Amino acid sequence: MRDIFDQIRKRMQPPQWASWQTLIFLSIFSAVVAALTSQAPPQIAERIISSLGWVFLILGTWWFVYEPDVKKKLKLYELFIGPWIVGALICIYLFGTWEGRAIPARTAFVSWPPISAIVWSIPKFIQSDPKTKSPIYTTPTPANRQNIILVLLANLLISCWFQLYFEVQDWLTEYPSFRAQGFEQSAFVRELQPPEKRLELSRGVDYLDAAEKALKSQLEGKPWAEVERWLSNLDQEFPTIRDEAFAQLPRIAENQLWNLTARITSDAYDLKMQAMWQGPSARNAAYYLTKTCRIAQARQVSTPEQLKFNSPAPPAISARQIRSLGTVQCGAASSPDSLPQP
Amino acid sequence: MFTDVLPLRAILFQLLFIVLAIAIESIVLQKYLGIGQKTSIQYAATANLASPVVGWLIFFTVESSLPPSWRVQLIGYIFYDRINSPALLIGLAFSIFIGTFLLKVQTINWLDQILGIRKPSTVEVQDPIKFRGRTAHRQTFSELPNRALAVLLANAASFSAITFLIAVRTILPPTNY
Repeated sequence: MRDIFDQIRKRMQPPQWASWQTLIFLSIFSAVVAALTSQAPPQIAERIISSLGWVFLILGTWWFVYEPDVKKKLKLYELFIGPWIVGALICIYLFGTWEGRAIPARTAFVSWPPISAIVWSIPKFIQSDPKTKSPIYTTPTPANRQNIILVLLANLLISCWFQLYFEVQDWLTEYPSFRAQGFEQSAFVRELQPPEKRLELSRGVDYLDAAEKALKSQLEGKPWAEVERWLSNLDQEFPTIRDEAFAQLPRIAENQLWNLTARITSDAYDLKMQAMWQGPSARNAAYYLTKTCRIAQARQVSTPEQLKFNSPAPPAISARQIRSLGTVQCGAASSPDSLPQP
Repeated sequence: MFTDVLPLRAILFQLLFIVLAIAIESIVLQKYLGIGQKTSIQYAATANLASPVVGWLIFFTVESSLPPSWRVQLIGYIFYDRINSPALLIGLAFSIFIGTFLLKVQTINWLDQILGIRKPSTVEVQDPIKFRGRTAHRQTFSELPNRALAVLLANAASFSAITFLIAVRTILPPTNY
């Protein structure tokens, strides 16, 4: 029993009090204490202790990666990657755990390279005093100054690339339909896995579906005469359908780029709705989606009026009423590829 | 929203262009300024890493303040490689050329100060008290390598090479790289 304890102790005990193990233990200790402190809303104590834990963890890791043995192993093609590990921890601490936000994302990623470059260059500013062995500030040698400038600039460039990635994501959130035409020609971006069904990426499909819904609520079950009147006034009536369709969908910047039109293509009332993309196009031809709806009349035989047997008038056989009502049947939205150019 | 649309092509092209520009510009600078190989590579590397960083910063600032219709055109250019007015593109390319030239001259001057490299031009004119004959002065002046001119030539050479590569990419049929 004693042997086991001794062994554990030997393993656990840092070789010196001033060592990276001490710092890591301190950080674990802080994490445990932070977990034990009250979870009440202000959480001031917890925040301070967990911050201390992070600082200990960063310093401990910093120390650890600069240990000669570790430094030798942490090399990627002759490049010592230790500073980037430390930089990542610093960024997670600074930008990742704020107010319990789950995704550190943007700020953390963008600031990671320059912070790592600063971590990388710090040893170049420090020299150990020949007498007291304590670290003192020193101006880096010209060769080191040049290296610091180049490393910093290269890392800033990587930051810009991260930022570019996030910009592209912003654009795709505001203008998702750009994906529908594919980025094969782009000199900037590439899709890792080009999607199989491009059409579904276009919000034109959503617009047409919304328009179909609006059209159905407008015409279905209405007397046929009214439907025909509506159809003959299509140019004046359709804008309301368009507005209703737009109102159904989330408001994003892209909505400005879609135009919805409709025209009657056959006397049996085939209504062809067209969602026209007015933004930039990948090809010379215009990009549009169509949906054809057949508006027909259905004969509905309504049950005769209730015969009023107890009325004094003789119960005449009331004529069966035949009413014509509008029905709307729509096909699926189709991509321009499957249709001839207008 | 995070998608798998990555700016990989931009990164690839930028890396290629930077390496190419450093190689070309260091040769040109070395030849025109009569400086050592190491110094010329230092100049070219620093200048060509600084200019894309500044360029991206300007891009991000301008992009966020563009009116929506312009922004859509810009996004269209980046996603589909198509632009409504090629004249605008040429104008932009020209101003980028001038901008990078000025930036590179400035970067090299700063680099001299930071690294403590003595400029051959300033060494000559630093001492105004010393009397110089007219001819002697003119001679030194004409012999002095003009740094701005050398940087302009280097910039022109690297831009030509990059333009050539872009032209080749435009002409060749698209391949999925």
